[in-house]
Amino acid sequence: MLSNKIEAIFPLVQKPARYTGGELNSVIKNKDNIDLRFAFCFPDTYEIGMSHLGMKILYSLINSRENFWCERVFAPDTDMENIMRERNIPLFGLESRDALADFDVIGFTLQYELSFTNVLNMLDLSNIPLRSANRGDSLKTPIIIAGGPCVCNPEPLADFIDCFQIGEGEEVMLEFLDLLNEYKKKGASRCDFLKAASKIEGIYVPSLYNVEYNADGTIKSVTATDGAPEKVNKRVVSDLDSVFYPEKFVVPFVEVVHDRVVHEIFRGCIRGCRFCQAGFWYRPIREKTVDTISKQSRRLACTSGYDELSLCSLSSSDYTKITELLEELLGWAIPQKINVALPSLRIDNFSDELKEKLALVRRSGLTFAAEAGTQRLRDVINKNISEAEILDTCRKAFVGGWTAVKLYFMIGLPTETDEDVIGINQLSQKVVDEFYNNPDKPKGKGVNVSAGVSSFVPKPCTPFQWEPQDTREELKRKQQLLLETCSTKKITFRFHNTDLTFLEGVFARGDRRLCDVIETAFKNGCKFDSWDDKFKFDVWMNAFEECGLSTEFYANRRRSYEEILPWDHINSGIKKSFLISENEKAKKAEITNHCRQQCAACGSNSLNGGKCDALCKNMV
Amino acid sequence: MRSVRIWFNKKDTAKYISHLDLTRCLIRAFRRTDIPLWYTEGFNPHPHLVFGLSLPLGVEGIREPLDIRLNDDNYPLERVIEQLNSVMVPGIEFVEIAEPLNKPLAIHSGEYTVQIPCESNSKVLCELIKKTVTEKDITFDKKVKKGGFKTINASEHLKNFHANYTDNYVNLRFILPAGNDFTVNPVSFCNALFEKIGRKDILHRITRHKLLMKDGTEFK
Repeated sequence: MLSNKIEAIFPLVQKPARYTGGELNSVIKNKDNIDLRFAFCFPDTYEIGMSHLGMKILYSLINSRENFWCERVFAPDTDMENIMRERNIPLFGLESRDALADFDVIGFTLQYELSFTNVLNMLDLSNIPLRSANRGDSLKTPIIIAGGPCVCNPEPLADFIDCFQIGEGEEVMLEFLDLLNEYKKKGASRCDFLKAASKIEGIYVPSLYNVEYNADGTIKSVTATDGAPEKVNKRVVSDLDSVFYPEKFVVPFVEVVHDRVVHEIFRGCIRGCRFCQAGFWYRPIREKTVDTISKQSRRLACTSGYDELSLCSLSSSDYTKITELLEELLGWAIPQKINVALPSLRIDNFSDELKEKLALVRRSGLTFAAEAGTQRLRDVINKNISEAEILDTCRKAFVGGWTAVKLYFMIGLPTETDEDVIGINQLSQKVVDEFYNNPDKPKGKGVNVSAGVSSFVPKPCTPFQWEPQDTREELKRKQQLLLETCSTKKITFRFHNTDLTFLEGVFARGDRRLCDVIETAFKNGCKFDSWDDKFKFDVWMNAFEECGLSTEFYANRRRSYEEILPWDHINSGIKKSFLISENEKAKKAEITNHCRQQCAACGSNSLNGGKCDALCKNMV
Repeated sequence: MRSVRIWFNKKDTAKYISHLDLTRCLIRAFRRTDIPLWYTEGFNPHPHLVFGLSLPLGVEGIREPLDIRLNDDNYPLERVIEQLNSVMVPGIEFVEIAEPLNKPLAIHSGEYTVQIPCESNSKVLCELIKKTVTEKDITFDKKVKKGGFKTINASEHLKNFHANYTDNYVNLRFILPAGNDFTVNPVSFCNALFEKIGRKDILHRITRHKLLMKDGTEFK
C-alpha cells in the first residue's frame, strides 16, 4: 500500500512534518462520498507554498462543497525527491496520501516564472504525461489546470497545461469544477469537456488556439478554433465583502515563510507605477469594508491560535479608511496579544498618527521602495515620491529611534543612465547623513542603510511590455558601478543574480515555442530555478541552443507597438492604447496622477461592470 | 499564579513534529482555548512552557510532562485537559494534570520500547539482536556542540535490555540515559544496532514510556 511506503521514508528525510499532513485544520473527507478530487499544487517547497494566501482561499473554497475534496501538494525537497524516485513512490496528496494520478484535477499556482520546471517535475513525479497532447481523450487522466499572476502570459506553459484560469479564482473555480463534474457523470470525452470549458469566462484552453509565426520569429496570428473566444477575459470578483473567505487556515507544524493570519484588505492599486505588473493586473480597485476585515480576521485568529495578523494588499496605506481599520483591529488584537503588521506601506502617507498606532505593537523594520535614485527616473517609472519626502520620513523614523532602514531600488529601468545608477548611492548616502544630523540620535549606535538592488524585468500588461531588458553584462556593469562609487560601510548592497533575472525576462514575455526549451532544460536536470544554489544557467543556455531559439529575441529586443504580443489574446481589461500612452509619457518623464486624483481611464473596470472603488465619491 | 504539570501522549505522525515545532504548536493550541495561561512580563510577553525532556524526532511518547503556569488559581484543572484536547491536532492527546512533584532537572533516563514488524523468522531476528547486544559494543558518532564528532558507546550506558518476539513482531525494551547532562539518543542506538546486524533500513517504531530519576524511580 502506498501509505505504508510513504510512512517508511519519513524517518529518512529532513523536516518530515512537511510531508506527513495532519496539520491543524487540514481537511480529511471520506473518498466514497466525493465526486471530484482536486490536488492543489504549489511548485515550490512546503515552507514557501504554505505561505501563499491564494492556496488557503481556494483550498477552503473547494472543500466548502461537500462533494469536492481539495488536498495540498508541494514540490518535495531534493532529499525527499531522491528517495521517492528510488523507491518508486509517486507524488501524493498530503491529506489522503493517494497518488496524484488518482485525482480528477491537478491545479498549479504560478507565482513566478522560475517555478515552471518544478511544474514539469511534479507532473513527472506523478507519472502524468508532461504534454497535454499525450494525455489521451479520457477524463480519467487528471485535468491539469493553472492560475496565478504568471498566467497573464500563459504561453510558455501552453503545451503542458490543459486549462488556464485567468484572473481571480473564487468564482470561476467552482463553475469550472461543476462543469467537469457534469461532463464526468455523462462520460464525456476530454476534448468535449475542454471545448465546453473554454466557454466559461476566464478559462483559457491553449490547445484551441493556433499560433503562426513570421519569418523573423514574431507572431503572425493567433486563431481561436472550436468556438473558443478570440480574447479570454480575466475574471474579476466584483464584491470583496460577499466573496468567499476562509474561516480556518491550515496551521503548519514547521515554520514557514509567512506563518500568521493574513488578510487581504483590497485588490488593485491606485498608483500606476509603470514597471509593476501587479499594479495593473489586479485592477480595478476593490476594497473590503472595515467591518468585514475585522470580523473575518478575528475569526481566523481564533481558529488558528496565531499571534500575528498581517494585512495584505499592494500599497496598504492607500486603503481609504486605514486609520479606522487599524483602530478597530488593534482594539481587539492588543488585549489578545496579537501583533498587527502592515507590510506594504508607501512612504508618502506614512503619517505620524499611523506610526503611533503601529508602535503600540512590536516594532518591525522600516522599508522604503524608492525604486530609482534620481527624480527624473522616478518620474519615468511614475513612482511619485520626491527625495524630500523620503528624507523627511527617514528623519522622523530616526527621531523615533530607528537605526536601520531598508531601501529598495531597481537597475536596468528604461532610459536609465549611469547618473541614475550613481543616484542610488547618493540617495542612500543622504539617508545616512540624515541619521547623523539628528541631534537626539541614540548614543553609540551607527546607522545601517541596506539597499536591495534588483534588476528590472519588463513584464506583460505594463507600459514597459515593449521595452528591451538590459543585457546581463550591462546589469553586472551597473552593479559594479554602484560598488565602486560607494565609499561608506554604512550602506550595504544586496544584488539579484543577473542570470536568474535574465531568464525570468525571457519567460515573462515568451511565446509557446519556449515549451520545448522548458522541457529540454527539465529533462537535463533543471528544477528549483529560483534557488540560487540549484539554478543551472549553462543547462538552460544549452536548451535554448538545442531548440534553436535565441534568448536575446525574448529579453533584449525592443518590440514595436504594432507587433502581435504572445499574450494579446488574454484580456486584462487594461486598454493597449492606455499602455502605449503611458509608455510615451515615460519617455518624456511625465507622471500620471494616481487614480483617486484623476481617473486615467485604464479600462480595467470594463471587466467589473464599469465599477472601480478608486472612483468612489468619499475619497481623498 | 499556579504551576501545574500536564501529561500528554505524542503518537503516530505527530512523532514527526520536532521539539521546536511542538512548542509553537502547543502555544497556539492554548491560544485557541480560554485557559488563563500566565505570560511573562516585559516588552515581549510569552507564555511560560517547560517540557520535561524533548523527544527525539520520530520517537513516540507516552505520558510526557509539560509544566505550565495558570493565572487563575481557581480554574478547574480537568477543564485544562478538556479544552486542550478539543483543539488539538491528531496524534497529540493530553491525559492527566497534577501538581508537579519532582523538578525537571531530576530526569536522568528514559525507558523505551522498540517494535519491529517482521513477516517471518521473528525468532531468528530476536536471537540475533540479543546476541549482538550481549556480545558486541553498539557505538555511533554523535555531533558535539564544538563541531566535530564524539564516539558514544551505547552499550556502556544501556540498562535493563529485554527482547522478545511474537509471530509478527520483535519487541525490545531498554533504558538509556536521558537528561540535562547526558543523553543517548535511542534513534542513534537503534540505527547503530540495526546496521551492526546488517538490517540498516529495517522498519521500527520507538516509544518512550517513562522518564526515570537517578534512583530509578519514575519522574512525577
